[in-house]
This record gives sequence, structure tokens and C-alpha cells, in this order.
Amino acid sequence: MNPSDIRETIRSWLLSELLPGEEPENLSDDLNLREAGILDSLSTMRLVDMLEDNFDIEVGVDEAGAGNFATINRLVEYVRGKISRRRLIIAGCFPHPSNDKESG
Amino acid sequence: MIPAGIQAIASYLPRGLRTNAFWQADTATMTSACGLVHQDRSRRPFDGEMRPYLSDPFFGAVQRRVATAEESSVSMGLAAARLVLQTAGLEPADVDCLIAVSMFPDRVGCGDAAFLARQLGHWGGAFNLEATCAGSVSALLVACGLVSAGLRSRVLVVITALLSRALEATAIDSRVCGDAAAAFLVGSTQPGSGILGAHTLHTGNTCGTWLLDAVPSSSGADDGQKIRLRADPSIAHVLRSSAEPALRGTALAAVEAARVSLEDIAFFVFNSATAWHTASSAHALGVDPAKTLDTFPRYGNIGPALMPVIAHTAAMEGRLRSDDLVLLYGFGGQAEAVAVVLRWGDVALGPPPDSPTQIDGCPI
Repeated sequence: MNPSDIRETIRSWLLSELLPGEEPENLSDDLNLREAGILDSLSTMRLVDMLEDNFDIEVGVDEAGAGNFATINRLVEYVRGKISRRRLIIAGCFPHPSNDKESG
Repeated sequence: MIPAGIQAIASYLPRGLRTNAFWQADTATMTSACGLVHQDRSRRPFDGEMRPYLSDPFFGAVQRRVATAEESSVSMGLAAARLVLQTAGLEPADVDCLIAVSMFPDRVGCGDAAFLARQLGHWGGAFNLEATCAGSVSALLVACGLVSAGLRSRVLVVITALLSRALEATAIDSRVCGDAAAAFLVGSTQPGSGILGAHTLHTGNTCGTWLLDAVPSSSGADDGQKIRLRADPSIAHVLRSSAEPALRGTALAAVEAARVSLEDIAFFVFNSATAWHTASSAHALGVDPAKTLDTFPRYGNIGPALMPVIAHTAAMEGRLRSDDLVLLYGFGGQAEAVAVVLRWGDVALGPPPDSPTQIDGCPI
């Protein structure tokens, strides 16, 4: 999946699920979704589920914070990184997350 | 090593009752989250029990007790401390250490220990222990360690959860949280009873989920400032992801340290911070839910007071008996998860909590 497909999937979901009726051009890819009040604790959890279902990734316990979930641009970069890492894991270049996951 | 455990326990519930009607005017605009979370519970085991509550603006909460204007962290802790001493037939002079767990104290920057000791007329040492919502279980471990090592003979642990003043009433979290206090006495026990094993794990992967700052306050008990507690948007994801590994990681190790098996445990005191935590915890460990007690419908999330209030309530209701092996569990965000296995023993029980005198701010 290329970055534009990832971006479109995220944008479409945000507009349909969290901003119904909003004009797409009003949703900037640089808008801070947390500071704008679009992502609260429940909508963040919903977004995590959408990303995991659509991109076959697992969002780690400490990966849904301000670093990755601030803007659409950051989300796209995060998902790209997760997909790339998954491919490398499958290719045997990285250990499987279950082997290096932090407990607790 | 001197065997050590809980000798007496009591709870104090504040005099205010807050029902969901308190927020009635806001219900139409309240956030809920219907139609989400994975159907596949293998990814996050707690999701299965959580899902039914997400369409409810109150997430399964029904009522909670909250401090009235006349009550404070110190006054609630003091009431619980006096109850437990009275229950045990002891005087403050019979205690040589006081540990206070306050979430949150009446002032910024200093806990309640010395304030409680002074008003109680206690002359021994007093210090504060901070492990967020795990504080009561962490304090139990510390107190038992002091007694077991022969450094103290009897330790009074006082726990206060005063969340209603730290959380803004408009915050989602305030709908599920309440206030409570509890106290227990730790001393020497018969060989074979008291603490048999324990395990702790830090919860560093939850750091950044709870945001604390100091803001002006007009309560009168707090020198013009109070701690404000807010949640980062990542909190629901972080807590659902960390709950199961933290519970299994500590509980299974504590059971092993106690040289027993989960099947030997007669009662489980879980961290009932939400409407689904008790059932989720029982499911995660594969234990019978009949061996648990969920106080969430009565009191909501009462933070560090959960463990002593649940244990006290279960013992009063005859669910937790003297010969029982019990597993006590606490989960503190940005602190640690703690599991303790102990044989309950002949614990003196404080009286049932008084009825509230106010409902949603109006006198009854």
C-alpha cells in the first residue's frame, strides 16, 4: 500500500466517523488532531482499531501518543513504518515483536 | 522472618452520593463509542468485556460516593484510621508507623501522613507512599516488610482517594470515578498466614497517560491550590493494552512465589477500575468470577482505595473467610502493578459504611 492510499484511508475514516458533515478541504493533514479535540481517549481507541484492521498492524501500548497520532501526516508515516517493519520481520531481518516486547 | 499480614481493616465512604443524574443536562452531548473495538478478542483480551459498555455515556457506572464540602482527604483518612483502631481495640500509641497513600492530598506537593498523625495523636513515624492506584497494595507490601524484618511491630496504613476534586466534572473520567478512604493495620500473624508471596512490575509503558498540574482551588482545605488530573487521549488504548499483561505477569509470579496454584486461591481482589475490569481479570486468569467481588456499581473507580474497600466488603459479606487464600491485585498507571498472595487470617472488620447524607449535592 502506497502513502497516498494510507492517507486516503485515514482521511476518509476521520471524516466519516469523527467529523460527519465536515468539508474534506477543512481537514488539513497538518492539523493537530489531539489539540483540536478530534482525538479523545475513545476516538483514539477507535482509530487504533481501524488502523490495525485496515493495515494489518498492531499498535503498541505506547505508540498511540502525541508522537504518532498528532496529525494525519504523522499517522501516515507511522503506518508506513509499521508496514515496512512487518515486511522486514517476515523476511527475517528483525526479531518478531513477541520476542522483544516489554512486559507490564 | 516474622510472619506479617493484615490484622484489622475498615472503610470510610464520604457522605455525598453522586448519581448519573448529576450530569443529566449534558447527556445529549456526551461522548460514547458504540460500534468499535475488535471482535477478535485474541488481540486484547479485555476488549470482549469492555465492548458492551462503550455505548453507555457512563461506561457502566451507576453511582459513586463523593466528598462533601466539609470533607477533605485528611478528614476522610482520619475517619478510616479511627475506625480501624476502634475495631482492633487499639490506641494510636499502639502503632509505631503510619503510611499514608493519598490520591490526592489536600495540598500540592506534600502527602497527608504527618497531618493524619498529628490529628490522630500518633507519636511514631509517618511517611507518604505514592504508587498511584496501586498505592494500597504497595503499602501493604512495605508494611509487611517492616514488620517481617522486626523494624516495626504494627503499621497503620491509611488510604484516601479524593478523585472528585482532581478531575474536572466535565471530564469523561469523572463519570466513572468516586471518592473513598480505608485503613488497615499490619502486624505479626500466625505462622502460615499473612503474606506468602508477591510480585511487582513497573508500568512505565503507561507514562504520559495521566497529566497532573496545580490549579487554583476554592475548597478551603488546600491553601488555594489543588492537583488537577487529566487524561491523555492515548489512555484508553494504553490501559486496555497493558491491563492483561500486567495482571498475568504479577499474579502468576505471586502465586508461584507463594508456592500455591491459582486453583488454591479462594478469592481474588481485582483492580475494579471500570465496569469490565473484574470480569476481564477473571477471564484473563481463567478463574471463576464467583470468586470475585465487583464494587464498581456501588462506588465506581476509587483508585488506591479499591483493594481495601473490596477486601473489607467481601469479608463483611462472608465472601472472604479467615482460612482463605486471597490474591490482592493493584494496578497503578505510571507506577507499578502489584499482586500479593496471603492467607486472610482472623482480620477484625470495621463496620459497614454510613449512608450518604447528600444526593447530587442536595441534603437527603
